[in-house]
Amino acid sequence: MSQINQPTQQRRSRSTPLFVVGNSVLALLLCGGVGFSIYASGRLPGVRFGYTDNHRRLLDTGRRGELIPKLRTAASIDFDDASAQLQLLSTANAANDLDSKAEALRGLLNHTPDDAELHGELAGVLLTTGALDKALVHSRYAIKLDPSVAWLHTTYGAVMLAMGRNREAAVSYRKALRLNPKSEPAKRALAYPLRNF
Amino acid sequence: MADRATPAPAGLIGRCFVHPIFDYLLIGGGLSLIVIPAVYWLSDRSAMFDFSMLPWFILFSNSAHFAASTVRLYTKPGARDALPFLTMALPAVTLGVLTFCLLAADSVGRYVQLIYLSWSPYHYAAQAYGLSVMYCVRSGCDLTKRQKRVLWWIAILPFFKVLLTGFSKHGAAWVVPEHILWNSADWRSVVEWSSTILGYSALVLPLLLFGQVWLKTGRSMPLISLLVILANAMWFVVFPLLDGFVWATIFHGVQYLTIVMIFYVRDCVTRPGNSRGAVYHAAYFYGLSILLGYALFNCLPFGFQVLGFGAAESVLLVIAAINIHHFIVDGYIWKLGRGDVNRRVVEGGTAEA
Repeated sequence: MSQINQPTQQRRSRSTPLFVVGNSVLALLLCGGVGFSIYASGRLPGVRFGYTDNHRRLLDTGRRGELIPKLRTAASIDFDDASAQLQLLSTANAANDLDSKAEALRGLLNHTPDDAELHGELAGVLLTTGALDKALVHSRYAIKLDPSVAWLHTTYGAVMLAMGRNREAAVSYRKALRLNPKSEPAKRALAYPLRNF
Repeated sequence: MADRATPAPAGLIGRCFVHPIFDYLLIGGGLSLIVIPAVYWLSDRSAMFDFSMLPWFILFSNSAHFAASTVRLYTKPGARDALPFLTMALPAVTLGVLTFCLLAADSVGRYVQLIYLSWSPYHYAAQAYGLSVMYCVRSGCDLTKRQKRVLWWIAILPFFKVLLTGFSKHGAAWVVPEHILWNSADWRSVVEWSSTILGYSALVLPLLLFGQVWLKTGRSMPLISLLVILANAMWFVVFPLLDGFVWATIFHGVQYLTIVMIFYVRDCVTRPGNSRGAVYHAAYFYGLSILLGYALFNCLPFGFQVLGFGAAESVLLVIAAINIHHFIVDGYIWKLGRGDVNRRVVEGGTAEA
């Protein structure tokens, strides 16, 4: 019987220090966590677990620059939560951070892939950052989803224009103008760079 | 199983642990089939997102159930010798891996989250399968190996449905180039159709298997074995994905806590020299689980913030790590091996409860 138990006892004696280390670290982290919560908020950690309080504090103190990397991390990990993407989008909009805005829009598109205006907005952002191929993909898809929205044709026209495909750009701007005769961007584009197309 | 005396057939109701009403409601998932429609009919859907109550529900059912597997691991007789890695090394290994993931949160965080979110419906389905087979064994309905295999595949259909929906929702965007992802091919509707077919199959096939077992052996599976599979399928098939996750999280927790407490209490009351009643042992186990659940889910993230990690990654990755730790532990503590205390509980009678 003792021979059978020997390997078990050896394994046990080898793993005991690991157990002690693991649980000591865990205990320290738990105590540190309780202490930190009491220090920061004056109370024990609440039952509601969330990370947005911290973000709200930074927003309240106007530290948007500090907030954006944190929101990007949150949106990246918490991809299943559309509100994390929305928060990143609104903060990136306010800070005019186009990369973060594109990331938030991509995150939102995973939740609502058939939202034509989101695709159009992403296409506009990508166009501004010079990612023309990707802007083309999204503006084309946006029109496929909803061809009745004038500004989606304007965005598509702008992408075409930026790519030097003037004939297609003119066609698209004309479509935009048909849908919305007051569209200033379409009028301007057809009046000057596309006058001959 | 060969040396086991086959229990006498127990009819349609099956041999329950406590009482048929108790077992069917809490372990079979019947409670969810009463509570969920009540919530939808008596209030509106926004009740699900009433954040003032939800954290308490989560603490008392979900957080406690995660902690319960750890409490069970360290209180199960013989676990330390049978599972030395799990009992002695896993806490340190988990903390080490978690710290590494926190250091590289921007690049690996979403994949850790993906692993835990994908593993959850598998874990729920596997538990439903395990409970279903356990009630069959207790009720004297010996399923053949083939029937067990079919039951397993049927039980995990909701997992495949969630996986498919989740991949089309997020995963595809991470691995497929944008120009392919957003082209004119309508691949999303193909995924949706497949997902719908899987959903209906998860609801219909258990009934067919139930009928097949009855016709072939002349003995029925206990209804609770069918109910537990159907309840899990309903959480993920009938409701939208997010709602399904919320309901499954709550009622899987209730189911788990109930069965783990039954096992724990039965171990305790049959221990030589025990002088306390079942209620004391159940309250002790549940209290310990709530306390540990609160410590892990609500205090530990602050501990990582002390070390300088951000709030988002601390909260999200700690939750993911606790989930994954629970899935691993759970894969071992429910084994019904020869000589395992679990087997004695499964084969024991109702009166011992």
